[in-house]
Amino acid sequence: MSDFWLMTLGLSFFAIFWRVYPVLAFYKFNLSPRIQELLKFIPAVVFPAIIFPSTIYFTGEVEWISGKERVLALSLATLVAFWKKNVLVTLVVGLTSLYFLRQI
Amino acid sequence: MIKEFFKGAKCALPLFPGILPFGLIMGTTAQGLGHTLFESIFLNLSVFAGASQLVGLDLLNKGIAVPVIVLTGMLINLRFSIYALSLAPFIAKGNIFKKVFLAYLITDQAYGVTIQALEKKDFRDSSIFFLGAALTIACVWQTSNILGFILGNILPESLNLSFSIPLIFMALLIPLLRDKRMIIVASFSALISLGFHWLPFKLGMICTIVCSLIFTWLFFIRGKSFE
Repeated sequence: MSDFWLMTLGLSFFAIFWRVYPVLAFYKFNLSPRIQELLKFIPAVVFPAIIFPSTIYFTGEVEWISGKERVLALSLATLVAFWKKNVLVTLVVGLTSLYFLRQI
Repeated sequence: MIKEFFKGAKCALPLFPGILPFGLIMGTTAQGLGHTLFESIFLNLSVFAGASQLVGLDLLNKGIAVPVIVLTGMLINLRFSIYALSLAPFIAKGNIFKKVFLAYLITDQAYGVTIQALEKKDFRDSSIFFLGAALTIACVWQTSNILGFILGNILPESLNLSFSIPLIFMALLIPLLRDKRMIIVASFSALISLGFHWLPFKLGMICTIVCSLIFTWLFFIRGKSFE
């Protein structure tokens, strides 16, 4: 078996195991109320790790803000997200503002 | 039932601009590294986790030993277990095949959309809602991967669609920051994710998750009663 197929086998085993085992075994776990409370924090724990490094460390091409146009566009989109609480509106505002920032 | 499914699918629609470019890159990368379309599709279907697939293909191309690649992928995908645990009360319904299939469909995006929708509690069967959202995401992911393999990265750079990912997750996060504790935890996670960003193979994410969970436990859970 080639390295590609061995890798695919290994990656898929863990990718599926991590997803399936907690769902199948959930009612056996008998989670304490504290763990259940901890689980409510998961979006607040995970999503910032997806949002911030890719935006803050990205260096673009708009010189007057040192290439940090994505930070500015994200800030604007965040305000809109607070106001509208709508994914599509936030996305459109973020992408449009980034587009115009790059044209200035 | 059908109504719930389409409600989920409709909620997943705004995520397309974030999934499409990632899928195209995945397909283009597999093609560029000399893999066949069958291999690319099989990798996508069986692993169904973009970040670990991209890292895996990159490391394989660099001649890194397979056990090291698998271990790296295992750590990158560890976050799915906490998504699964968090979603389990809502999707662990029906027979074992349904549970396995729903669990297989868990992704960052499907988790985000469902957990936000659960806050609003405006649907009856959460597992069907999840199926609608997650299956839609999976279809777009697979299709964009095939398109990327065949046509290359066809999206114009000027659209900046790679920026859709942080925008979408910000839009999903904001409504969930209901109280001061959530805001503090999110701020802590944001701050340390910047510090861990320099770790190789996207491992900064799992380090951020582990440290933020410990932080949450120590300051907001331990010693408090939630009966």
